[in-house]
Amino acid sequence: MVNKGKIRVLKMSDVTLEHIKKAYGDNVVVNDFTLKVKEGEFVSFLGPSGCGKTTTLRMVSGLEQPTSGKILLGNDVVNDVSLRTFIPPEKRLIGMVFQSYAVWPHMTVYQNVAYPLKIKKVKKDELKTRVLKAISQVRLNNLEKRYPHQLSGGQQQRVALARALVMKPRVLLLDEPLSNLDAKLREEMRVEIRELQREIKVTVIYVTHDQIEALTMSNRIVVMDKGIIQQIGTPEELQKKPTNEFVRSFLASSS
Amino acid sequence: MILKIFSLKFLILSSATLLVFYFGLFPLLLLIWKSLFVADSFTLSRYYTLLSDRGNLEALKNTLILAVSVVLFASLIGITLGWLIGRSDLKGANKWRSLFSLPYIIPPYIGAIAWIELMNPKMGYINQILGAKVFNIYSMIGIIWVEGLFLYSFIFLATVTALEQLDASYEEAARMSGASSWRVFWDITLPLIKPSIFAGAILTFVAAAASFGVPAMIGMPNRIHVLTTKIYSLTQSYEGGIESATTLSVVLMAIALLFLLFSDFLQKRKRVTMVGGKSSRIAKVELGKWRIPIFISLVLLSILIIVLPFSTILLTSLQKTYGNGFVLENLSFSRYFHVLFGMNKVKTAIFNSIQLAVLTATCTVMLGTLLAYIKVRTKIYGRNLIDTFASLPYATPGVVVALGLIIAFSGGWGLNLYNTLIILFVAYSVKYLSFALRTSNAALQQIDVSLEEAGFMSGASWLQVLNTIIIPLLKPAIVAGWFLIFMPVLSELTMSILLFGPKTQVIGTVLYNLQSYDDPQAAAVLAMLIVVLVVIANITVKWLTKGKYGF
Repeated sequence: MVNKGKIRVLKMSDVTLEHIKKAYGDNVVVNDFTLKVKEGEFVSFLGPSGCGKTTTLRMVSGLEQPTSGKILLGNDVVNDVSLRTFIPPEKRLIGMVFQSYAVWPHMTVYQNVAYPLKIKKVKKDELKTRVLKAISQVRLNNLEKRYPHQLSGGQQQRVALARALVMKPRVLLLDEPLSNLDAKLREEMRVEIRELQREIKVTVIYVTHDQIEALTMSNRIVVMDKGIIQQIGTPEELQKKPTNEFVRSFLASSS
Repeated sequence: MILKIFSLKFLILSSATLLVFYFGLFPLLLLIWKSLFVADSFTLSRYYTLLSDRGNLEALKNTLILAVSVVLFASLIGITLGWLIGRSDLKGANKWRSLFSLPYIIPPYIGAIAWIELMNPKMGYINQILGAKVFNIYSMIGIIWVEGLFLYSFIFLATVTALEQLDASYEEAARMSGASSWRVFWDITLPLIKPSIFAGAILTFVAAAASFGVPAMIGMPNRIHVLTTKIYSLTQSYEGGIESATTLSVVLMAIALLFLLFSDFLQKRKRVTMVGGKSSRIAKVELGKWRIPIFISLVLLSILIIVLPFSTILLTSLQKTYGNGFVLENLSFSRYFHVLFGMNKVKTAIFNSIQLAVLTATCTVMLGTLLAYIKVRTKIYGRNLIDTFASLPYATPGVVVALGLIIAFSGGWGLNLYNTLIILFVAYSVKYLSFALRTSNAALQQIDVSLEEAGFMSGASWLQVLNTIIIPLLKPAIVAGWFLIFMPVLSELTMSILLFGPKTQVIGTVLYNLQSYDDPQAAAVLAMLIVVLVVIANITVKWLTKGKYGF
């Protein structure tokens, strides 16, 4: 049975992953991944490239499906391989910011941010208020009529963020959002994203290979290597009591 | 040392530029000059005379009707197929892609031969089956039909390529915004690939306006003329025909170049940053309940475009007695031996074509690679000029290039190449140099400069670096470029028909004469030969470049 029904309870926004496995043929990229992200929490997936962190994030979004396991948003099962339950990405109400930003080049800033609301057929007045609010939240006021190629990388980043936030998502997924920015801007955006998250209290899953980003922004960090969770803990716990040599050295390379 | 390297490169570049200018550009400029100057004084009288002739106007009108209709017809097939194969979850998309790319590498006049067999009013197979003269291929619609069934491949490949290069995260972002896969297609995918489709449509327009083989075989028997066939007939006719042909050529060239410039302008203006990269992920649209109807439509379409024409040619070539039907006793390969080994002019033509194709492909690929290197890797002044010079003859209709060469190299300006194999070699080379240039250019840009710099730091000279690092890395592109030129030269008709002499027949011209005048069955044999050679060449490219090039 394929469940394509709407999600009923919108409030609950914790994310649960149970024994998630993803394999391409014999190549297992994520194995036995179990995690509960609490409502309003900021959790980072940290690890070297190819460790399976982005794949895991994409399974939460619904853009990819696990080989086995179960994913819940609040109390709703969005994906359960054994029951063949799958809610497609467009029905999940999840905001996502891509590494390449994916700000549509043929639309203005305003049109980009308004798009999710237009899909939902939100009424004109409300749409305008919400779009302008989202744009001002990411501090892009007065740039509404610009096209993406007239914006800097950092500004495009903010458009992507506003577009993800405008629909009041249950969860915000960020896939290496700062990796294409220069060092100074990266530092600024780190603070800004963190403040924005506290302000609107959205649940965030943040994928990064940068230890500093993970350590400074997260409530909890999931350290991954070769598709397997190495350790889950607060930044302090990880630094004080790394469970193995990989976690210790991966975090140490920052300082 | 540095100065020496510089001067060597500069010497190559400047002599190549001169060569391309002399053989590629100068003949075209000469055409324009000849059309505007009578007895050394400027006048538009030739154009007035030209436009007062009803036949010429008719040809101009037909050319425009043909080009516009072919674009519409080809877009319908090309975009639909492109989307189905590039973006839907169609099973076996790669196989369909190879199949529907076939018309891209086979000359459209092969299609004309097939559809004449199928739909000529007297004894076309379809009319025979229907028992009435339902279809008459010898019409404008016939020309449009045959060309559309080949040239759709331009738009099809443009669509598929654009879809492949489109960063999947644009579409994924729309899905995360709540859009269904159909909404994503209309709101995001289509607007983003529109410029590429448009460029493909312009190429199709120009190709249809420049086409010679199909209108010559289908239109001329019924006195339907387009500009290309008109120019050809004028050159074959009475005194003064060359002057009219020259002026008409300039008109045709202007149409082609204006459209290409317009397309170029739009492309540059609309240069949106389409961050490529992770295009391995493709947002597939589910066909769902449409899967089976679509599959059946694709099978039918492939029968219409590929199976029917090619089996018609095969069966025509195998019949012992023309018109005695397709019973087994009437089929035999004996004609193949007779045509390929028994007819002297065919033997000579095959030998000439292969010789010319190998020579042209080898020389242009060498020159093209060298020039691409200079263009991409050096900062020599004027390095971009060569690109313009090389692409101009390519953009210009073949009939016009050939006429230019006749006028320039019949002795009046130093060289007399009339009726020689060399003039064919020159024509093919200037026409296809830009293929080699573009293929190597694209491949070179993929190779990081540091690979070469590491070579220099290891003490290698420029020639050594070229030999041991660049050429090995460029090998797939060089191989592909070679075949990309070899294939069209082998079956070239449009320029050859104006340039061949008594001793310099090529496959295309012999085939054309057999088809038009005496022996359509022998023409079918040659057509089969071309199809087989082109398919083998394509498989070879795919195999040699491990699937990177070829269809």
